[in-house]
Amino acid sequence: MIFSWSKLAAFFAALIVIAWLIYPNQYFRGLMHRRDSDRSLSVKLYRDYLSRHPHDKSAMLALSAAYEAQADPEAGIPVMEGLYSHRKGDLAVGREYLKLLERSGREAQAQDLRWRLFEDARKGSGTDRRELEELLYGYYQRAVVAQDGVATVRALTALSQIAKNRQSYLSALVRLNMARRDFPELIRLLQELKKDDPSDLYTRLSLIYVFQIRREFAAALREVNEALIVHPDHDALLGARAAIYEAQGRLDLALPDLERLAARQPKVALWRRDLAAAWLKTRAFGEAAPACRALLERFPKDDALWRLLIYAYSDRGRSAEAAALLEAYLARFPEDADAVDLLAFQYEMLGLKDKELAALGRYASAHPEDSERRRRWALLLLSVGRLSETAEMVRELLKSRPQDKELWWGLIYGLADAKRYREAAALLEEYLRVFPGDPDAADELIQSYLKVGQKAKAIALLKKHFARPGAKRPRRTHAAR
Amino acid sequence: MKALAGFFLLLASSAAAEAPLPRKILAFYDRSAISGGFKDEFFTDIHQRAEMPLNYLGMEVVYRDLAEPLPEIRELKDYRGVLLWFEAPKSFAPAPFCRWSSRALDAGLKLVILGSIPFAEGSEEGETPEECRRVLSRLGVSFDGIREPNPVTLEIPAGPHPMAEFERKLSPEELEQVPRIDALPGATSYLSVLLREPPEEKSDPIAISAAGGIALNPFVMYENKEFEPNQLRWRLDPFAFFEAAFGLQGRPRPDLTTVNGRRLFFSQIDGDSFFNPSETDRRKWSAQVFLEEILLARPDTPFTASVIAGYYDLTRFSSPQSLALSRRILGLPNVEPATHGYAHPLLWWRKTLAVEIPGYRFDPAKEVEASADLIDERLLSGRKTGLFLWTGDALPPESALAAAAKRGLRNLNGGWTRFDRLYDSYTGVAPIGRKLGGFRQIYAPDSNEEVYTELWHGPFYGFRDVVETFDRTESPRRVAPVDVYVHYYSAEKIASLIVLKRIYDWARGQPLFPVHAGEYSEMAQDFFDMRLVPQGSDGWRLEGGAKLRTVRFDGERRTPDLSRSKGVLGWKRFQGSLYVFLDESGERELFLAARPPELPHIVEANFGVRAWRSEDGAVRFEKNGWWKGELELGGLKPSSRYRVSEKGSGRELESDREGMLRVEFPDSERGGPSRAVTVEASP
Repeated sequence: MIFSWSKLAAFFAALIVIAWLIYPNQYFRGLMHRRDSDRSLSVKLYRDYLSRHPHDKSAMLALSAAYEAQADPEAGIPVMEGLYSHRKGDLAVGREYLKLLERSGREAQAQDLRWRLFEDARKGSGTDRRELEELLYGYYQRAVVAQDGVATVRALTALSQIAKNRQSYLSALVRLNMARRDFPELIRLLQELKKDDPSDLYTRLSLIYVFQIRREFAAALREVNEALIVHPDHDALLGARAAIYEAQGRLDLALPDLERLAARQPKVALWRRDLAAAWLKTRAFGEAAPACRALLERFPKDDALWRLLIYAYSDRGRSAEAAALLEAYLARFPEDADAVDLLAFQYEMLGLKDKELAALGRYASAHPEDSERRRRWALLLLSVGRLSETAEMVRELLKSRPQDKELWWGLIYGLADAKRYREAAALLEEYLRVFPGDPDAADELIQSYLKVGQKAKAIALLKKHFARPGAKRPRRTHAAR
Repeated sequence: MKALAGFFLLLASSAAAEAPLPRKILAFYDRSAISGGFKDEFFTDIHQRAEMPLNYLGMEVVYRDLAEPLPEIRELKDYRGVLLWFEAPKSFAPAPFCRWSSRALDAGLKLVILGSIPFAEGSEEGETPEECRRVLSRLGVSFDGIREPNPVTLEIPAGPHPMAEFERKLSPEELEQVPRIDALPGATSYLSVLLREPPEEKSDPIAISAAGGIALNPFVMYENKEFEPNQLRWRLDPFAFFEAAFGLQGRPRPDLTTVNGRRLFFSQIDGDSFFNPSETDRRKWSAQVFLEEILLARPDTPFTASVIAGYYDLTRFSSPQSLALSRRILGLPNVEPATHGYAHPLLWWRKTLAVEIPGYRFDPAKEVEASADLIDERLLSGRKTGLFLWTGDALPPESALAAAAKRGLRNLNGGWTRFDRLYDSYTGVAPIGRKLGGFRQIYAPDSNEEVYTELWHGPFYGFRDVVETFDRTESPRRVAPVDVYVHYYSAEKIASLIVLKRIYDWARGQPLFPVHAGEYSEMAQDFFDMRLVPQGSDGWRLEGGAKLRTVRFDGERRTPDLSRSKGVLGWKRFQGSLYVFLDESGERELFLAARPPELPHIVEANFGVRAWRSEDGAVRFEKNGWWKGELELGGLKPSSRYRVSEKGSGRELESDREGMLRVEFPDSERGGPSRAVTVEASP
């Protein structure tokens, strides 16, 4: 025997120890089988391994990946949650967990994790600021897309504290608080921004608007004047100051700023309109009106300026000037139906019925779809006895507005006045089908029947009318008459 | 002479009465503004975002580059209106365009402007030509440029109208610019924004009038490019807006999603990676696994399977085993054979190819016609390839579409619809297709698994999310069929195979109408061919488009009057719409009535119905379907016994108190010959 029994025993013992030492553990065996068929073997091996080494990072990541390969990413979520809870603030693990949640469609859970991860990582020392910012930015963008106001404010507040470009996040926070109208918080943020950069005009203007909205005009004026020191004579600040004075009803104080703005920015219609309005309110009309007219000559396409001046004349009862201006205005803006109404009204005030008719007629003929103006035109024509031009139009209008009694009666009386009783009777019969039992119509119809010699019909109608319980004696009191 | 004049007058009036409803929308776009080397309408906002809602409303969009001369108004008799959604290029001449628009309005066309006003953008005093001011005035608005308001000064006094908050709530902090636009009398404003910042003014950025409508930025879309993927949402409700602005209320709408009341379902397989080894069994190709695990396991489900023809010209793929496998797949009774090109073009416009074939360079005729011929010759015995599944970017040139038409091939793919938590918007839903010259490409109604798996880099179970798209395109409005669109490589990974089986199982559990993809393509072509000729105030003659089997009415209270209609099989109310089912005849007349006589009709069926006859309360028809037949009949006698006979065997069933009869057939034809069915009152 070459070897003694003891040597042999030692050899085999060593062999067992070596085999035990080099035999792969379940984790490595799991890795060896990680591409096998349905992954159930590698899952089992990883789980066995983890039962003895509960927080092994590699095994937990491998197990989660194996679940994903089985199309069951949800099974990996508790695994990754366990791993992250054990390694709080570990950005690498947190990111893997985050990706898994995103792939699984667990967006709410992923968003919670982003914030948790940020807070955990922030507490740890040595975390790279850029990494934190990137993480937080992801949280912020998701909050914006989901319109989650609470999360957006939380993200912006944190970003404005840690980000390199904190100004832009502060500005976004201001914008958000503006939209939410959280004024105390807004004023605090704006004051902070102003302190950071006293030359920032947007910050200062925002502060002014906030005070204006809160009707804290004194504070607003203080801010404007302070800002004008930094940005002397700036248009936006002058505009803001004029607006503050306008809101306070102190137009005389607003005028100098408006005059300057209108002169500097002639293309901005709003300044000149405000200026004209201020002139009309602060100056004598005899002085203000020519100034406005001069402005109008320079900017004849400014419809609002026209209207301002037209109303100024109209409000003062100066119908002739108002009508002349309206005629000129309508030559430029023929589609303005309100102006047509106003012109008709001015001519009515002046007692110029033919011109009133012409104004309405011009518009109504060009706009057959505007039944309201056609109706008014028709009623006006009837009131001056121009039945022949109107009858057809009224009948057409009645098709679309059968309940319009004034229109019915306008035509009925028009026909009666023209002694066209037969047509009046026919129209009244139609009317009674729409408004059965109307005593005025019954009375008028009886009269019409009698006028055309249809006594039998008149008697029948009379009987029918008086047979109705509670019927009153017919009367002829219609308002349209 | 008078009689002659009367005759012509009669002729003219009858011609006017017989005119079909105009179904086209003329969309102007600026080709020069499309970035990149490939300038195609595909990349325009109108195609990507607006065309789908317009298709849903039954309309066809026809594109016209701004560089082309403006069309003659008299050529636009088939058009309902004009849509403008572009930023004006520097070369754009507003005055002639506005004069043309004015003439279009005179002719009764509607004008709809989205985004910005190309002929008045940023206008100040004197910059907008007078002609353009007049067009805007006819549209019911006046426009005076843009303001950049401070959000604190921005108010929506009346609260937003639902039309302005379709997919996103209005938040002042997101509105960096506001157009200064006023709705004039006669126009309806759907959103009024008050700008309190001095000088105070009101803006009506969404307004509709009798002449058309306007919706301006930023009230049309929300866009967030900071987010990956970019987030798009409609602020404007495009369905409600287009319907009102183009005046499409009450019209029948050809519908491509539904047959016999059931949502269409089909599944197509692109030929890629046919020969990849599968990790489920490394000795097998993916196609082999696909065959065993999917195609053979679901013999009652129709599939459309394609192959890349050029593989069979390569030595390594033309072995007897590969030919046998290909023939087996394409020869299955539930499979419709299709071609996926010769060398699988990747970017059609660049002529790049996925499969390298020695001596071959891109040739559209070879890709389309020759690939189908090659498949017919080598892989099919007797059957013919009838469908081309577009490859790569799925943006074929006109020559490829022409080649498909010449060979009699239908076509499908492209569009890339996705509507799920990552793409949570109708902007992700593609229109029906894309027209090039006289030919039309039909898009797949859904995206394939490559899109859901990061271009097949994983996660390989990603395709399970397609069900979200199926759900969102079904409710609250059905805008697309269910299309399970995959490649053979879905059988390459265990995770992808598992989810694919789950998706097919999901589909099997839904009330769907299975067809082959080629049938859908034909229906889609017919969507555009159908003409709707009004017959009085309550009827329409539906001419052409015989393959299209459904017209839909939205918000319609009346029901079809079967006693006056022709070629109408039945109807169903679903999600506020009335779906009316048509027969195969192509000569249909549909009349609606408030209380028509009750006659037997289909309420729902998951199979095709031919030769429908309804006499004396009995119904006879031929059925042909795939899945176990399910039928619901309406208009029968309430609580009465009916005998349902099929294949000589019969059984008795009772209608419910509403006169509805539900029938479950024991099996189906699985695409084989039709079977005659009789439903008659029991003696």
